[in-house]
Amino acid sequence: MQLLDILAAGLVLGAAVAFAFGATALARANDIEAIYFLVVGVVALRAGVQIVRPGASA
Amino acid sequence: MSEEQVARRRHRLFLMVAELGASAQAAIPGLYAWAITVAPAAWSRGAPLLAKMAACIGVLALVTAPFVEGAGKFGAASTTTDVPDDAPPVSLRGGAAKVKAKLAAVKSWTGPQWARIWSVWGFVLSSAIVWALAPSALSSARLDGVRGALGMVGWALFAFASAGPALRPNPDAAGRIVAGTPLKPRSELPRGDGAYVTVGVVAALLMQGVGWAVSSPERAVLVRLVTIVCGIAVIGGATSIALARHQTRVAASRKMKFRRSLPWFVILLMVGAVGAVLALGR
Repeated sequence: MQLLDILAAGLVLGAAVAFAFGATALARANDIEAIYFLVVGVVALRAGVQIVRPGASA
Repeated sequence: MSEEQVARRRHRLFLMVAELGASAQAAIPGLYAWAITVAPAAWSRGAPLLAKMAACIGVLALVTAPFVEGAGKFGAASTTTDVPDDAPPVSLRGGAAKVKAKLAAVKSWTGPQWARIWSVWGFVLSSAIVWALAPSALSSARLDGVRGALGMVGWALFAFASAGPALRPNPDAAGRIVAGTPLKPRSELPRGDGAYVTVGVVAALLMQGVGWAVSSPERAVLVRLVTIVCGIAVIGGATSIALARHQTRVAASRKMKFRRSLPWFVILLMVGAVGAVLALGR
């Protein structure tokens, strides 16, 4: 397992945690916080997938 | 473990499945009926803890009945519920003799009989307790008509499967199988991919536990929608990074790396700035 794989897995897990925080905030009717965490989750997930794309290895 | 041992274990598993008795076959429609008519009542608002415990006992009765059945005599005769020949005669007279005869009859019950009693009475009584403790859950205002009708079908199937003998496999079916070379998968699942997918699925399932106590229906639906979409995205991401491990990695040029990473850096900076503003605003 390369370092990039670990980083990507960490980013995807971080995205899942951010999504969970976002959903919790949404349930509490705290919309701004929910949008913030959901955006963080989307960015982290996208970054995690992009980082292991072929041609992206250093 | 050799392939032969794996095949033998699978064969044994198939035999165990084929030997399932009436209570195991009744457990499937029973679980369906439980999920539609009992569980929503037990976990409805205002239902006491005792109702939830009774509902759990109902599931326990359904799930453990096949094991009770398996604890008795196995074989073709085990599917019948006839009293064995060694049971005492019914013509015994007198109070003590009657009690003795009844005890002897109980002692002579086979595994399928115990399983049927445990499955039917355990499930039905626990369901009745749930409905008695949470009667408002069955009112027409809270119970959907289609769901009620489907629940009735589930209970009817449970009753039919419990009353009838277990369905046996067709003995002529084996003769219709044309022997050939064993089927082989086109490709093996690479090592470690299952762990990635499992972690993604577990994360997505854990996400589904969020936001079940929302009082507003619109927001509750929105939370459910968001958690489902997020769960699918996480599973997709986990699958993507698992598959990317098997692709050939070519070193990218510095220009390409910069072009790829720039948008994400910008977004991260923006997100960080928004977070800082939110934190300062509190």
